[in-house]
Amino acid sequence: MMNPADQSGRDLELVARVARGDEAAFEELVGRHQHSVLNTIHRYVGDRSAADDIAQEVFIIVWNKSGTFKGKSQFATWLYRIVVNQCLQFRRKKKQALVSLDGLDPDRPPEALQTAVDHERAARTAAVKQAVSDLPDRQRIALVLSHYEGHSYKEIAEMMDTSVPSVESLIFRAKDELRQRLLAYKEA
Amino acid sequence: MNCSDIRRKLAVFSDGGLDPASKELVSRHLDSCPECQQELAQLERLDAELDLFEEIETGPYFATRVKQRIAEQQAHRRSPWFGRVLVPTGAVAVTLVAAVVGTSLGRTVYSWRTSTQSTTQVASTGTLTVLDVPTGGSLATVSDRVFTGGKGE
Repeated sequence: MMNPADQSGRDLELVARVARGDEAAFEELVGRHQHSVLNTIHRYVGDRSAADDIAQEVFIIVWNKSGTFKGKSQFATWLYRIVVNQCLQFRRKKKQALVSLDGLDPDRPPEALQTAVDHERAARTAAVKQAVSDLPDRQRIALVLSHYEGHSYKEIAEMMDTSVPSVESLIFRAKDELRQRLLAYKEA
Repeated sequence: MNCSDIRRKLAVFSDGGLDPASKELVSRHLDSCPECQQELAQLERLDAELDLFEEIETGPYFATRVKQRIAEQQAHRRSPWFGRVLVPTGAVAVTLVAAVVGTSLGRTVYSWRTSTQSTTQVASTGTLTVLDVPTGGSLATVSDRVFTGGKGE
């Protein structure tokens, strides 16, 4: 398994080849990042099909714009900037439509979940998804990048084009909000 | 630092994002503050709860679909401008010309038929104002047709 420095070096090598139109390099680059990109987007938008579509769009942008990547930052930082922008853009477009995440309401778990063996866990999972979905956009993306993708606050600040203290503040507020919501759910 | 300052740092602390000096400061405060310890315990429970939002797997043809969409976009970009602009414009123009020619032809036929009917009517009353020669034949035949209302022969 490659260490992070080797991985980053390999990314730089691949993206340079992609900029020259190398399809095999592009396929390898997609393969290396598709899982984390898709999951970040899924946890942000909360819908599998929309996440799939946005993730494809992200890699299309990578293909089209690879020539503009100068290697000043890590490829992953550049890639996640695209992810953040696409997520925020999607959210802006769908602001009205995304009232409920995956149609899951913590107070009324769907039928399939009601009959599930682990009903309590399923309902709890739905509550967590809903609580994450209800966070303000920038708090949510910061939380997803930090908690689920394990990026450092410095990396997140670069990806979100903001400062480290702002990221700290976004995550503090996100967790505070989630704690209140999930505690309220538990008490109910 | 008081409890309020420490609590603002706890989320970063539990994520392991604090610098060593701040981490030491928070740790020392936690040793002597049960309320902040409780706060940290809640945050750690929250982190465990967040892990319920499970990962999803990418489909086996993800890269293929991305490449397919890129190929479609490139094909669209490569198609010459007259293919994308001129063809639809030409189709609209042909439709408009067809409509104008059709309308004009319709009017001509209608006015020709109207004038034919009026000539026949005039002829049947025996008043010769218009001489209509619908078919061939000698002048005598035509004259005969006019004065007999076309029923001669």
